[in-house]
Amino acid sequence: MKKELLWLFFVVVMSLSCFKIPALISYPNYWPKPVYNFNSNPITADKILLGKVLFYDPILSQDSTISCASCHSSYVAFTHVDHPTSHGINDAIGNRNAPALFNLAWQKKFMWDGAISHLDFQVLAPIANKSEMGSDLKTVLQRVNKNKRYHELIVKAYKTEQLSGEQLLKAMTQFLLSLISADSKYDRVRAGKEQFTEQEATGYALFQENCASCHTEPFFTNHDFAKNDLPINPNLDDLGRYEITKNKKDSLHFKVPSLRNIAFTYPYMHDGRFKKLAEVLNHYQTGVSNGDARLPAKNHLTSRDKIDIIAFLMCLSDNGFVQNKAFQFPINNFKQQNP
Amino acid sequence: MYLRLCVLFCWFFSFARAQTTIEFIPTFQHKTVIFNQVLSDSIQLHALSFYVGQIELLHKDKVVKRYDTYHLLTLNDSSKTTITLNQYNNQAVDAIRILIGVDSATVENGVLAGDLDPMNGHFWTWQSGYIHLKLEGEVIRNHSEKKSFAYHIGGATAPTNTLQTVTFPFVKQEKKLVVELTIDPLLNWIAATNDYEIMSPSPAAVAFSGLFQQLFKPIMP
Repeated sequence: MKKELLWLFFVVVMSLSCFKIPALISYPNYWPKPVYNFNSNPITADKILLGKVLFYDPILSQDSTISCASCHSSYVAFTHVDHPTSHGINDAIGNRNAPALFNLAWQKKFMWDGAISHLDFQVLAPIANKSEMGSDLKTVLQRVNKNKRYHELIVKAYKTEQLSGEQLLKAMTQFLLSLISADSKYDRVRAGKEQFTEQEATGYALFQENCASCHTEPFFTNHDFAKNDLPINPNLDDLGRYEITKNKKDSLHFKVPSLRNIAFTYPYMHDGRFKKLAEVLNHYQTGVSNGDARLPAKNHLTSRDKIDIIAFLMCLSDNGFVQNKAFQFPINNFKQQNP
Repeated sequence: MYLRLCVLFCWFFSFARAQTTIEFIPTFQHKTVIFNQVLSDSIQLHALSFYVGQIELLHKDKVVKRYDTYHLLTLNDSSKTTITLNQYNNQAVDAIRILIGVDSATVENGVLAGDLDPMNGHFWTWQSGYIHLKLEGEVIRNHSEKKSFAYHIGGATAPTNTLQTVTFPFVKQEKKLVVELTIDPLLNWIAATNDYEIMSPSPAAVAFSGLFQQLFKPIMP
């Protein structure tokens, strides 16, 4: 009997260790477990730091002018607010709004069209895109492995002198995984630490009734793709998810973005055409003709309702996240310039 | 002392027997392809590379050995034209089945090292997925006009799944299996379709990948 109990204990311990979430990744107890497999990329502080320095380093771009942070600024929840769509080397303009970056360990598909099916591969896309960084992984690796700034970081992270493509991508993934935003007023209300005002509570109820089927709690996205029914911008001619799946049903479907930190992440929609949340709500009330059936009926919301919903959406701002120095430009690592 | 030497000899011998290699030789019109030289007065080939994975050794249609590794073969680089199969102990094998390409389950595992490292240039950056096969070169038209062609064939899910499983006889020459990869069907694509470029998963890529079935045959001893 004792032996059987010992075996049972052993099996339970082993099973738990298989699904162990690293200590550096913490999140509220009402969140589901991440979908990212941390066993394939064990998190360490040294690898996160290496990934962060790479994230902020313009040597990733062909002419060393554009870093990931150029379009993903920590101060606005890792998106940009100065252009409707992303910008790159030689003043090139991309065709989509840069998405905000946080809570990525819970996502399976990335980009507005879900083109990237694993977080490890995400950074390859902007590195190679001619309208963004216009480079390639081989060139980036050669530059990083030659650059004195990285020598100590690489040795500490991987106990090696030369970084491989796999290691570079995994280190950058670790930094992205560390970007967890879970301390908005909404979260504090969920934790019983604060209370919504009357207007926020009304807005929350309206939100749950009209928006939550796609912008599902606790991430405020269902991580799926949906038709937003915006008229096609003829200059972009963007068919969304269809470009990847070639399935007609996916035509003009775009990823449902998280509404967390929405106060920081304007402009809105996949092509950044709306600057204000009111414009987004008005579109879903008056501009939709053949949109997703889950959308609220036309002209269902009053002006007062929309104001209350926006008041609730402001509760999704995580000021601690956007002001977190651990995520900001690692100035000490850039004091030593490459000779 | 003699006993130790005998054990050592047996160990070396068994280790040597535990491996076999598969070599791929590209041919065009029954001649070995020399890259970057004009073939048949009209075609020049610059690159031919492809993934081989999920190798299965068969005997009477039953799998006797399976290898889960993936190998990137680059036939325009003489150092990257062979696959070494370990733990192969001269079992009775009459056929070999290989997957040309990398399946979607492997992509779902995230970034990997070695032959699957995206640094090898066989991974699309604009969408997640390996390029199963690359064929690049030039066609000389009207005696002097050069036109480039590039086929980057990938896609691992419907409706643009270009993965192909190919089976051919396992006939070894001494200690290795030498496989002729005849590229004639691939180059005939140009004349048949006037299509010089395939760079993404598409119906054309699916049709092109169907040609893989005609490419591989062992060179008999």
